[in-house]
Amino acid sequence: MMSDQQTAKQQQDEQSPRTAAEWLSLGVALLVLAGVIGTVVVLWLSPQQAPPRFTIERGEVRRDGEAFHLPVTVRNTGNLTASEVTIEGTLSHEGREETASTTFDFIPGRSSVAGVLVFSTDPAAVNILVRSFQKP
Amino acid sequence: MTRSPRGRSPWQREVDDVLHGVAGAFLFGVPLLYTMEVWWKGNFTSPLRMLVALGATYVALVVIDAASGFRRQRATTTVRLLSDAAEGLALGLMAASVSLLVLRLIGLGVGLEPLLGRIVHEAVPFSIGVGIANGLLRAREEGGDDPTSGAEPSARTKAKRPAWRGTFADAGATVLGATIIALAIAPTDEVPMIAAMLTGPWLLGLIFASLAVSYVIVFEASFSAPAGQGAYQGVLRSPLGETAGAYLVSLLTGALMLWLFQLIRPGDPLVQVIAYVIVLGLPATIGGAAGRLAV
Repeated sequence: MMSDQQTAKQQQDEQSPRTAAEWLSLGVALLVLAGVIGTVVVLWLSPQQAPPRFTIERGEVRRDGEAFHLPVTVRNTGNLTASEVTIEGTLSHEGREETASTTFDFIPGRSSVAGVLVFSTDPAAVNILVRSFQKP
Repeated sequence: MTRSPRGRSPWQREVDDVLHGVAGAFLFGVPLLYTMEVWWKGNFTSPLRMLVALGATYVALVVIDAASGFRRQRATTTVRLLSDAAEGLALGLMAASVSLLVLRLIGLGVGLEPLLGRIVHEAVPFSIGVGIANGLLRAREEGGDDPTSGAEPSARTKAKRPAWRGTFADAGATVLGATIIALAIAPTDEVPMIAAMLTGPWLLGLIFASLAVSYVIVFEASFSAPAGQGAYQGVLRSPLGETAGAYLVSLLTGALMLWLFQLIRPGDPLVQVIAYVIVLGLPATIGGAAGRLAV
C-alpha cells in the first residue's frame, strides 16, 4: 500500500510544473483553437445556403497577333460551391457571330477565379454569360 | 523519465519541443498536402463536418499523446495530456495554414467557408504528425534507455568514418528518404497544378520553406542527439551547409523522378522544369531530412 502511494507520488513529481514558456505555448494554442472553432461555429449557426450566383468582370483586352485575349474574372457571390462552371462570350461582328467559352473546375462560394476568352475580332462589345454549372 | 535539461533554458526547451512537433507535422502531413482531393473536398465541407473533424482529431491526439506526443517530457497527468493534445491540434492547424498559403492553395479570393474547410482538412494529418512526432523523430535520442533503438552504435560508427564516407552516407540517406516520400507524389497531377500557380517570388518562398522545414527536422528536432550531429564527419559540416547540400540532392532526386514519369522532358521550357522540380522539392527534402535522421 505504502509503495503504491510512493509510486503515485513519484509519477506526479515527474511532471514538473508548467514553465512560463509552456504557458505561452498553451495560451497561443488555445487562442488559435478558439479562433478556428469560434469561426466554424459562427458559420454553422448562420447557415448560408444561398445558391451559386455569378458576376463576371472583364479585364483589359490584349492583342496577340491575330487574336484578342480578354481576361475575365468570375466571382461566385453565393455561398455554395459550383463545379464545371462554363462561361461563354458572344460577339456579333459584321453579321457574323463569334463565341468563345471556357470551363472552370470549381468556384467555391464567395470566391473568384480568372480565365481568358480568345476572339478573332476586338471583343469590346462582347456579351458574357454563365452557361452551365454543376452542384458538387 | 525526466530528462536532464542539458543546460538549456525553459524557453529553448519549449522552442525545441514546438519545432519537434512541427517536424512531425510535415513528415506525416506533406503527402496529403500534395493530394488535391483533400483541399478540393474542403470547398464543400459543412461547418458541422469541420467541427466533427476537429473533435475527432483532438480525441485521436489525446490517445496518441499517451503513447507518443511531441514533448520531450511525456505527459503523465490528465491535464497535461489534454493540453498537449490541444497544442498539437493548434500546431497542426498553423502548419497546415502556412503550407496551404505557401502553395497558394488558400489566399485572397477564397471565401471563408472553403478556406476553413481546406485548412481543417489538411490540419488532420498535420496534427496527427505532431502527435506522433516522438515516435518518428526521437528514437535515436533515447538510445541509452530505449532497447528498441539501434541508433547509438550507428552514431558511433558514423563518427569513425572518414569525411567523404560520412558525406556519401548522408547523401545516400537523403536520396533514400526523398525517394520514399516523393516517388508517390512525382507522377501525380498535383505537381504541374501547384507549379502553375507559383510565379517567381512564390517559388523563392517555397525554396525558403523547404530549407527551413528540412533544417528543423534534422537539426532542431534532434539537437540533443548525443553522438549524432555533434560527431558529424561529412564535408558539409555546418548545419546550414548540410541543409543546403541535402536540398540540392533532394532536388536532383526529384528531377530524376519527374523525368522518369515524363513530367519533364528535354526541350521543355526551363522555367517550367525549374518550377516542377522546386514544387516536388518540398516533399523530397522533407523525406531526405527524415532519411538522414534514420541512418
